[in-house]
Amino acid sequence: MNTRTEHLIELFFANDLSETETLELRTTLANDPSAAAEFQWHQQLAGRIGTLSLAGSIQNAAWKEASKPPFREVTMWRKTMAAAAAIAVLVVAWIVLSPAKMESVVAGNYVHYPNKMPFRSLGGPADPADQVPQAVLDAFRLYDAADQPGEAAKALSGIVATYPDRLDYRFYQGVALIGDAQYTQAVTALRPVADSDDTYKTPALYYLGLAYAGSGDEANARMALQQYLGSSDAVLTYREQAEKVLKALR
Amino acid sequence: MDDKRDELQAFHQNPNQTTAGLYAVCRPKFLRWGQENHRTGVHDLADIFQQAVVIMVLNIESGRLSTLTGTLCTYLFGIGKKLIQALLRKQKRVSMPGDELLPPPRENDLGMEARIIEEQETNRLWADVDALGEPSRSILVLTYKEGLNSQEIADVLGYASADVVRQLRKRCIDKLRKS
Repeated sequence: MNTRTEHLIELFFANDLSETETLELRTTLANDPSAAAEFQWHQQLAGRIGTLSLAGSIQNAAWKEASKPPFREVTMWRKTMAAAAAIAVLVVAWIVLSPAKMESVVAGNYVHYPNKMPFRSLGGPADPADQVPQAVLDAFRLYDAADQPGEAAKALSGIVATYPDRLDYRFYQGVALIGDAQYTQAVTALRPVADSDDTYKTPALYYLGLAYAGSGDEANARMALQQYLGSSDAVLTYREQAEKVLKALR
Repeated sequence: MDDKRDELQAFHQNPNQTTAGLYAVCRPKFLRWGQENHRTGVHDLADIFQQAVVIMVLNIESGRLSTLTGTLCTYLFGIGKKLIQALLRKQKRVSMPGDELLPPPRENDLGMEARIIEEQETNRLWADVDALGEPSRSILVLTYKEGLNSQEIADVLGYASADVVRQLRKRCIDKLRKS
């Protein structure tokens, strides 16, 4: 693998890619199977390393202990009062903040699904031979930018209305709606995809679970996420996220 | 200047007392500074301060930190700044089709046996990373988990340059591939 690709991969993991470099890396990964395989290896490594802690590297047991934040000593009376106050705060917080807490769990486990539409003209000059309508290209360009999910969702809603049988358009519309925290609308967009046998069925189950969770429908959220985890697909890209959301739903 | 050498000596003699002092005096300053200058949340800053203390201890243990030019608090601020920069970049992370650009799984459904083999291989990879020891483990955690670039890793771990970090990381990765 050439050093330029290695450099781009390094920048990716440091979240330091410019727009041009992002496009360059996407193009390389799409056209070079060995680069894509290398990148996948790094992603798997990153996934595993995410479970390690720096403190685990400290060999000296006393120093490892010393690196932890110290706790102040308090009397039993203060401990009791502190515990009672904490329980009261937790109860109030649970009552008042539960919906907000689940929204933040959903937002924390939301991943912008990468665009897999086979438009050759995405990222380059439009090719008339593609015969993809301009409105579709424009909607996916907004989707790819990922920084305006509301605008992307609006544009994708337009093309879904024009092509109601296109489950793939519905899928991306649903993902963008979740990105914009429009959970109820996302459920409407994703339900038909999750109920179908389309290629996007499996990821749709994950995003449908997020949408249900965000809209407060915990029962349906659990069902969708459990279906996702029980899917027979060899690779479940969002397994970790789905498990985290399910745990928060319990 | 004697105070600075004393701080390191004090840590060697009584690490609990030294770090307790840092948490009591330096941490509040760091939290205030981080909120005012980087608009970063207090919980993120508390985690970052904790990471900075761990990195400081790792550097003392490995010998990379044997003399101080400032105080331990200044040292922690220096590490903290790099971690904040990495956190702010992480919050703007772009999604990238990596393994997702491979053909959809349905077309290559390998079945239960292949999935078990894949899981065993990733568990082994995890054990191999853990077994690498220092500084490999720290370099990999700072690269892949904390999202620091090579120059930032060189700065916080006390290496001469980003290229040194790249070479060390490449060696770790080559060991992992062979194992």
